Amino acid sequence: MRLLLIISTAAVPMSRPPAGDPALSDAVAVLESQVRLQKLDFWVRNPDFVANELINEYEAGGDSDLLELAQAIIDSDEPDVRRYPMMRFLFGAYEPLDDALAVLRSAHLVVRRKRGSAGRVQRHDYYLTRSGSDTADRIVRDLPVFAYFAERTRLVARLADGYRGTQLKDRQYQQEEYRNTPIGERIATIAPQVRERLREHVAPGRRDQRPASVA
Amino acid sequence: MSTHDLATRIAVRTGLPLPEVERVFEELGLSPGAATALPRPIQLLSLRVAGNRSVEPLGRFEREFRFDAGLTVLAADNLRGKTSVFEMITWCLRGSPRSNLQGVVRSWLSRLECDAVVAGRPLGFRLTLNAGEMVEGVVLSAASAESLIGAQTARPGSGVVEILRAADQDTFAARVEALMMELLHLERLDYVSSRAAAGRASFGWPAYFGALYLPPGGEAALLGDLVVGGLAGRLLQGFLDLPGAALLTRLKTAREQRDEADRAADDDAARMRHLLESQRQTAMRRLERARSELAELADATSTADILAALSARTASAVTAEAGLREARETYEALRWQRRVDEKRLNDVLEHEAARLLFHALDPQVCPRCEAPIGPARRAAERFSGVCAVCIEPIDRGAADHADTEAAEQEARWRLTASLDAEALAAKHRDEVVAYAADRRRELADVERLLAAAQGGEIEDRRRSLLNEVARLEGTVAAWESLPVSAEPRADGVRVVLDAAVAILTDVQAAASDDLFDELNTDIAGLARGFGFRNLDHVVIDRAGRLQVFKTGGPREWFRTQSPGERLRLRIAVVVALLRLGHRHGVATHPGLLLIDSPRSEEVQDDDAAALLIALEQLCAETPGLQILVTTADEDLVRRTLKRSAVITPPGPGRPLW
Repeated sequence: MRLLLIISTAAVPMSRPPAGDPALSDAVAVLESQVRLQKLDFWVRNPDFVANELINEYEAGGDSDLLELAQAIIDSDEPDVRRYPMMRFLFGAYEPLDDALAVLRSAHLVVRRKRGSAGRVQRHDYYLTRSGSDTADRIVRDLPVFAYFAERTRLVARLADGYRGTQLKDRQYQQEEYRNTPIGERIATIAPQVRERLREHVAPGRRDQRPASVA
Repeated sequence: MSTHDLATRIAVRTGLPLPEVERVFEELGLSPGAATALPRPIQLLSLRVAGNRSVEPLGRFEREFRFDAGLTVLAADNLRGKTSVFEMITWCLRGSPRSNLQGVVRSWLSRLECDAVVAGRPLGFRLTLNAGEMVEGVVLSAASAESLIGAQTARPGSGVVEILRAADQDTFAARVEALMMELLHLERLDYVSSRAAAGRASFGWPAYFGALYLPPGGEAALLGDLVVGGLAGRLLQGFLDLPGAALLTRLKTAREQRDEADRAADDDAARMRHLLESQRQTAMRRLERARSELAELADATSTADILAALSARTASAVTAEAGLREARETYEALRWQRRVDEKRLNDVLEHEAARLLFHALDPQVCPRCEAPIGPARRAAERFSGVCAVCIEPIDRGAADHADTEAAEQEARWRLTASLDAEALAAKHRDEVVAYAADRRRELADVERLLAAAQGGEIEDRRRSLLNEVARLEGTVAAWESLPVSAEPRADGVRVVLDAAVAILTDVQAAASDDLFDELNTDIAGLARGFGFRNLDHVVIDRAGRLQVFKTGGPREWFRTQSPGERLRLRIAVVVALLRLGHRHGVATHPGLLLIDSPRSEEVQDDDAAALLIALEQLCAETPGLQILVTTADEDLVRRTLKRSAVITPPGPGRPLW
């Protein structure tokens, strides 16, 4: 369900389906690269990292609303209640997606396709079918129990907009705890560090100060 | 009534010993003579006039008139300056000219010098004039009338001093008015006036002077030259000082002054009481604070006690801190549990929703090999319980659904329980935080106490407080014993004053009835003597209204009488006042009368002659009466009068000055 929402929100719409593949005849959008999907999923599952990214955006010249949103996330129970830790793998946050994707594929909501020849670097693309798009819309419209994920995937998609998968991985690597997590272990929470960053920003007289490097 | 008589009556009325009453009189400065009439005679001595005439006879002129006591007649043809003599006397004595003095005549004058004795004091009025306006006015005072003769300015060697000087008409008039009112013991006459801003106005010396210079017979006023504000009545009362009036005035003034002084003293006393009470309250508050602090110090008497308290409070504080740590840990643990339960419920709900959603979707392809799943396989799953993907039997029964509902219900209960537990733990933690803070404060207090005790500060403070308490107790006791009283005073002076005022008021009320009876008799007799033959009797009241009763006739009023009759009545009123004053020893009219051309009011020579004879006779009989009369009929005067002075022009047809 989470993956369907991520793909439907972050996939790039296509004007026409790819030719030569009957399974993609009703595809309406595509999310390119598994790395990108994994990284987006990482943000959705870790509110503390999202808050941290919002502070980064603010420091890079973003609106003060970003800071307020980061504060709201970190002050809530989200970092604990909505946190689904992921393993660190070779390429960063990673969790096998096959089971979940098998469900989506069986119902013909998402179709995964490999690109590239054997022995070369391969990439998975995730095509959203017409029925996948309709189902995602139904979830957002009719199932309030998923309202949190619907809203969060929209935010994460906005944050990731314009970055490719490897670029997103680099941004996530900027976080010490992420980078230093041994491969194969769960990535620890960074909520305390995010709170400290927020305190520095909202301290009296410092509200409008940003790091000199991005000023 | 003498002051001795009055003192005796006061003693009887109040029950005070006579010597006590007399002592009060002495204290108030009431001498035995205080009850006698205040003198206010005016005697005209001379008028010297100088100037430059612009009509025939042209050129400079200078003439001096001397006036003796009794009747003086100025006899000259009409338009020969008789009335002007009166007007020039008026300018000097009144301080301001009347409009009757013609502008052209005023312009001739350069100098006016008038000598008169006012209330026994010789005064010289010296006016320098230019183009009809006064440019300098001086009043000289001398020990004797002779010293003033020829004196133009002050002569210290001869006892002539300048008592008044003004460089313009208005100032001179104001100063002469003040001088004359003071010398003659006259008060301003208040009257109600709708034109005045304050609703009241008052007449001064010019109004009184109107009773000296009688208006022509045809005027409506009985006394004075104005008919407004009940002036006649006020002048009548002003000139008819009742017995003891001066004494009564002084007593009332003394009483008012005492009232004023008492009020001021009462105000001062009230302020002082307020101040003392405020200071006493402040001292009381400080005393209470000092006693309270002293009592607290007494509770912590020895260092041993303080150490015992320190030990007990340290134990309490340590226990409280341990409890606080435990409460915080409990809270964090329960908070963590609540989050776990919340997350679990989310998972259950999301999982079930997802399961229902995906199960509702028909399988399209094999998730492994992507081989299509046809309608037959889907129908087999729906109707035969065979999985459309793997062809294994599946159970889509109610048991799964019941399990899911039970799991959701359990997750909800768990969350509810953990929320309640978290709230309770938070409340408990907050209570323990406050409790621990109290224990820390108590410990800090006793630690300070110990430090102070070890430094000897407590003993020093105790001694200081003991001293302060003793001092403040003495202060408060002293204030409470202060003899400040708000009781109204009742002293002997006040009692005597009240009694004296009451007695004199009664005496005056009784006397005034008798006086008015006498006055009516005199006026009628005099007027008949002046030729008002058919007059039976008159009744004058305090308002100055004169009712006239002719023989056999109805009641008439003064204003309806003929000009000649009015002139006679007017003169009769003034002369009657004078006689009454002499008979009873009360102050009254100044005794100077200026009567202009009574002849013009007459029809018959006999009447005019009778009036002149009567006036001459009156002056002979009445001490202090000085009457100046003008007439154009010198022959009549020469024929009629034997003992009076007659002033005439220096030659036939010549002006009087």
